[in-house]
Amino acid sequence: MIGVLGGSGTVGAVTADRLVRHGLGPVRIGGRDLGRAAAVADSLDTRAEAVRVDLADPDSLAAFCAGTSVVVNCAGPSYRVLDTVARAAVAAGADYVDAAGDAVAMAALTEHAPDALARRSAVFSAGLMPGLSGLLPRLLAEEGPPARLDAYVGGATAIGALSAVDALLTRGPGFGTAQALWRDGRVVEHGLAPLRGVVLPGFRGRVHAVPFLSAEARALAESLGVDELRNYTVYVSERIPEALARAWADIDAGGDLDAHVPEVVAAADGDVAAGGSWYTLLFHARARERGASGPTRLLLRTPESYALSGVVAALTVGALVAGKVPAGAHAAADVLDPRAVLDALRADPLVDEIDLA
Amino acid sequence: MTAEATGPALSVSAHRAGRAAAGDHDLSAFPDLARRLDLAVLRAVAAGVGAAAGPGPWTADEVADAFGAAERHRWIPGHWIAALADEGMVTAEGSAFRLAAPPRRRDLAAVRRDLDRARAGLGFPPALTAFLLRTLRELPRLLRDEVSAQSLLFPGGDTAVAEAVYRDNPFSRYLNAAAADTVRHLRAAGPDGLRVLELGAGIGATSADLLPALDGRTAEYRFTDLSPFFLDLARGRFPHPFLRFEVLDFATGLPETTGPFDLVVAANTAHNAPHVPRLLGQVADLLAPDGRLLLIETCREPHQSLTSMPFLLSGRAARQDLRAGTERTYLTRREWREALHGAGLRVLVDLPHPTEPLDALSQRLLLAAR
Amino acid sequence: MTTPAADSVDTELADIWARLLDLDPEAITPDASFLRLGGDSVLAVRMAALVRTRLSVVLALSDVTVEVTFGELADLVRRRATAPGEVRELPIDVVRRPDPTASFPLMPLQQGYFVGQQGGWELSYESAHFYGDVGLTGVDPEEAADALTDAIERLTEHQPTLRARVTAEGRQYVLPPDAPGAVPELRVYDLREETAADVEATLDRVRREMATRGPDATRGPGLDVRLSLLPGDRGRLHTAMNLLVFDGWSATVLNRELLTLSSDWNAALAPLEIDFGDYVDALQRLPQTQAWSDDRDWWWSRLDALPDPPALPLRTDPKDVSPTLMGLREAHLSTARWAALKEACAGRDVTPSTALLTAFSVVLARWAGHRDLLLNSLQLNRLPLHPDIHRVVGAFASTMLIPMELPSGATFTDLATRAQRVFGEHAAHNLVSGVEVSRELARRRDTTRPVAPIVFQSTLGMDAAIGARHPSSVGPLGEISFGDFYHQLRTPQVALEARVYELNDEMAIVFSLVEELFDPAEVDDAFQELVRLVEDLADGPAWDRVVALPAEREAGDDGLRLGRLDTARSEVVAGPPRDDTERLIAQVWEDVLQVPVLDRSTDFFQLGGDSLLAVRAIARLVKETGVTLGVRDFLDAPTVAGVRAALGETR
Repeated sequence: MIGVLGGSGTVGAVTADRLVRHGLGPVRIGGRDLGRAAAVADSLDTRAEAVRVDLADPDSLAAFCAGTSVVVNCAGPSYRVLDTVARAAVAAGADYVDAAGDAVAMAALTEHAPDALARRSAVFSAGLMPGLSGLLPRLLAEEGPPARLDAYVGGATAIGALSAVDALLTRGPGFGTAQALWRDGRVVEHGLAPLRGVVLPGFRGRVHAVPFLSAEARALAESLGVDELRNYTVYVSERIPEALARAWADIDAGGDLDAHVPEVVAAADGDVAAGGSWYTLLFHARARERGASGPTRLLLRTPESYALSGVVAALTVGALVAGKVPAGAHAAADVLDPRAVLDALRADPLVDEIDLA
Repeated sequence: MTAEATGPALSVSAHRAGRAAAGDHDLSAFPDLARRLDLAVLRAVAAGVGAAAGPGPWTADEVADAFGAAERHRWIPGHWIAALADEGMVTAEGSAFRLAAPPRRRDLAAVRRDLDRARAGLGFPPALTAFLLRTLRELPRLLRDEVSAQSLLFPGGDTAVAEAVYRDNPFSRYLNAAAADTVRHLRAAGPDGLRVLELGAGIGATSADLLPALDGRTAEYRFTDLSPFFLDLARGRFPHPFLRFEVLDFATGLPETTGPFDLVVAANTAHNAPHVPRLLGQVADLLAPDGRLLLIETCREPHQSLTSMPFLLSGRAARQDLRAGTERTYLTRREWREALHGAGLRVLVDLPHPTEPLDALSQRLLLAAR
Repeated sequence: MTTPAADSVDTELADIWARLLDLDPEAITPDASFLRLGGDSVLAVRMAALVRTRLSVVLALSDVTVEVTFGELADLVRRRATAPGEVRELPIDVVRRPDPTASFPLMPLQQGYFVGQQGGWELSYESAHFYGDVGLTGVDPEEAADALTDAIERLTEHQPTLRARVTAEGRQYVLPPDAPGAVPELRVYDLREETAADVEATLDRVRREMATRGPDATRGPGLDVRLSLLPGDRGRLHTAMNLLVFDGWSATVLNRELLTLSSDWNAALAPLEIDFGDYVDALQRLPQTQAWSDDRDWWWSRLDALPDPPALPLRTDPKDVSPTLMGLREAHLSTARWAALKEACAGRDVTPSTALLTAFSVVLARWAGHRDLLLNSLQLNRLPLHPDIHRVVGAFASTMLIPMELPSGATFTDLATRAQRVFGEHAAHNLVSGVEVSRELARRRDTTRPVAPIVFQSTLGMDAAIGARHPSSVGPLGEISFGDFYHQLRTPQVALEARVYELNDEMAIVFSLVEELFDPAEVDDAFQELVRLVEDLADGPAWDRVVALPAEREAGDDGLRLGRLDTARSEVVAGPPRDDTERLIAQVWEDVLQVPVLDRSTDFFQLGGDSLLAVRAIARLVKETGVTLGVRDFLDAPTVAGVRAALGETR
């Protein structure tokens, strides 16, 4: 039995669907609203149950996790959930997959690690970003580390209020450094400037690429051993960067974070209204030597970034079930097989294009 | 050093102060450059005459006619012809003259260049070139009295040209600094401090150096000129509280009631008196027992002044002293010494030494005492 | 700034208008428009500069239209004087640069000429220049050459642009006056002892040489002056100016100043407080202003709706033409007719330039078979940022696109009035140059062919605006016979240009065209039609007649026609750069464009490049690979893959 928490949200519903399609069922859908959870369960093509869960209630959570082999958390916001569900899962003897949950959440789990973690696996950041964005670029380093790796991830997508909160919180050393790049083994602050109105393969029209050396990008750079890594978040307009900048300025001056959520959500909605919903991951490698022949570009395009995160979460469950993930806490990008994921994504209806060239 | 310092010591000190102020220049080139400047202007004057009256032969009157000269300036073409003849630029043909070598365009382009190079080499600011070329350009209108030399010397009331001529050059700096040095140890006759009278002070080129040297021990500095324009200028420029300003035309006489003065200054102006010895006598009467007369004078008319000075002097009261009957503006050095002696004044300082390169423009500082 | 008192505004403004228009201040009534009183857009620019200096009031460019009445302008000046914050000011001032010999960027049209000179464009020449020669009588043969030499030397000191050079990277700078090569050398042909036949032959040769191989500021002085001394105290003065560094207005100023300095060894020109480099430097700050962004947005929002250029039938595809000389058709409107035309125009509140533009458009519409046309015009474009601007020699001019959409069933007066309004609107947004607008249009239409190769240029009113007439008596150079004037013009990316200018109280109409492109009979017909139309306008009746125009608004697709030419380029397979050469090209492009270049099929211009950056990229590639690459090859296939292929072909 695979438990999917937050199963009635976008991510959860897609996770549940893919789990069933990949034959990993049966599935237990958990959510605050039983009716909606039941609707999702009914829509699935297999035996599925719907359970009411209150994450704030440890008993409710424990009851949900009992009897599952894997608990997939698709409920947010991750800053609130942190390691709560992970602990409940491993305590109930289940493995754990978190579709979001980044390094901060993982650190919370490993800091006072429960004993059960020695026998169970907890995989975090099993989504699009972080997740795929840390995994797929490895395909460009199979014949040796590139001299330079450029990553462009972004597009236009609607975000919910909870994700807006996450976005507003994504500042500070735990998450990454703005305007920075990775070079020669260290973070170079103020090394990059935003690119305004540029044309990039796989991205529609002219976009704005804002440099942000995320914790995941940094870890990737280190583990691949690249000489230089540049990571950009791509927006289709200035709406979101401006809304975030305004909010952060106000928060720093003592303002209330929640008050800014509506404008961030509205900014994202504005982008979608202007040109539709789409999301792209582009990775471009420059080889160290002349005459190198390996692939230098990986391009993935999807219409729905959150939905695709659900696919990744499901693929992670698959890896777990197949015994491919060691015990302990890991980031999905570190334990999944990039080529296997690439092949699986190629076949997935939520991927418009995936190209390794 | 006391005020009774001997002439030689005074001269040495003043000369040193003047040289220091003159600045860093290749002084050895000065006499040659001054000559070049004069010749360049004179050639250009010849071209101007040629343009108006043709290559000749013509008499001075015919040239005045050709220009359509105003009555009071009719004497000027003749004055030019005399200078041109001196330099061999015109040849005589009976009572008439003709241009020896009508200047070609190439020569005139060279004149412009030479003029400016000489100007620069002599340490004068570019404003002097602009001024000289402008006067040359305006010779016809100057002669016809359609434009005044004053308006060219003070375009729009601006003093930059006058400053170039009387202050911002090595010669003026030398003389003004030397002058200031000589008055350092003046002794006041009265209890309140020094009383100074300056005649024809103009833009205050020399005053600017004297005033700081006299500061702190002067009761009154009477800054006078024929024109209120200069008094206004000075009021705005000099903050010294002991300054008094007064319109005074010394050519018609000096007021006797206002003496005695410890120092009387006449810089580049005394030659405007119709009778220099008489003026010197009047000044001598105004001096306190230990009083001094400070003169700065040009002792030879340079060709370069031919496009401006004559116009400034036209129509003034005729000279009644040794210059009577001539067109001479200036006295020579020797004539000044004799006139001073004649007025009962003895010369303490006479700078620069005639062998000095800074004598190239024949401008001289004379300090005399009773 | 002090606020002018109300009645002093009227007096001062009346004085300004009176001087510019050569009128008695009494003649200036509050309801009289600048145009009616004889003004035009060129004089309006000078007026704005004078208002700025004498009344300390900055007028918005849209305020300074020819239609403004004296009363309106006086009110405006009073208002601006008290509330300076409201106006769309140009918050930039031109000041002297600390180093006058420092290099500075090219203006947009200069960039166009620069690239054109490298064979970058269709219809381009090795040097874009203007050539003219004029007859002289009563010459002093012994002095004339010296006078000119002297004048050239003085002029070179007074006008720094005579010492201008353009670098291979497309920047410009000015040599110090005493640098070797700084002063253009005068060449003299002494033909006084020659036979008439030999004189003719030599003059012909000189003309041909100067008209085809003009001065080139990338290699030497941008000005070439020659003097021919002919028997009987006659002569000819030949001048050629590189359009890369001089614009039409500058040619007039230069000629005038050259003659003034020639006539008198001691002639003086009032010193200039600023030079062209100072102006260009100041303009670098313009794109940061709100005013500039507003203008850019105004143009960008209209680009997609602009019509096509006149689809004139062609004999050859411009790509296949290497023109050497432009063909000419020329006609003069007599003094009487020109005066009548001016009056007729003033009476209908249109400028003569606009009337001519309208007439040209009508003729083009009939020739092309459609009546919505995109024309290009050459504009003076000297922003009134400093009172000396109109006396500075430089390359200020720019192009401006004018959409001429001629409604059917309208009288000529209607058409001209409409044109006046459209022109005024477009000209009011001149902070973004027409070259930049054309670039963006080309980008959107995905073409490197000229987007507006039919040009209209009028310098009517320029003489009055410059102030004072050409001196006709020039010292040793004798008298200038303005009627005896020959000229040639080569401008790149132009298929056909109509020029109108004044000469000696007459008006000249000229067609300048690439002969190889058109059927000569059609050109003659069109020219004659234009001349007849203008004569009819001068004589009166044409204004109120309904103008016959083709029914079609847009061009058809039959045969070889201008503006409707094949722009198909070979398909390039997208993907990351495939080999080391492609990677090198991508890296060079990244360095030059300062943006990521990650795909072999993306167009250089889509990435944000322009022709000047293309030239730079090519220079770098040539240096890195040692392979020559022509600008035209680059522009024909401006992708990483395309350039790779071009490099491969020349190996």
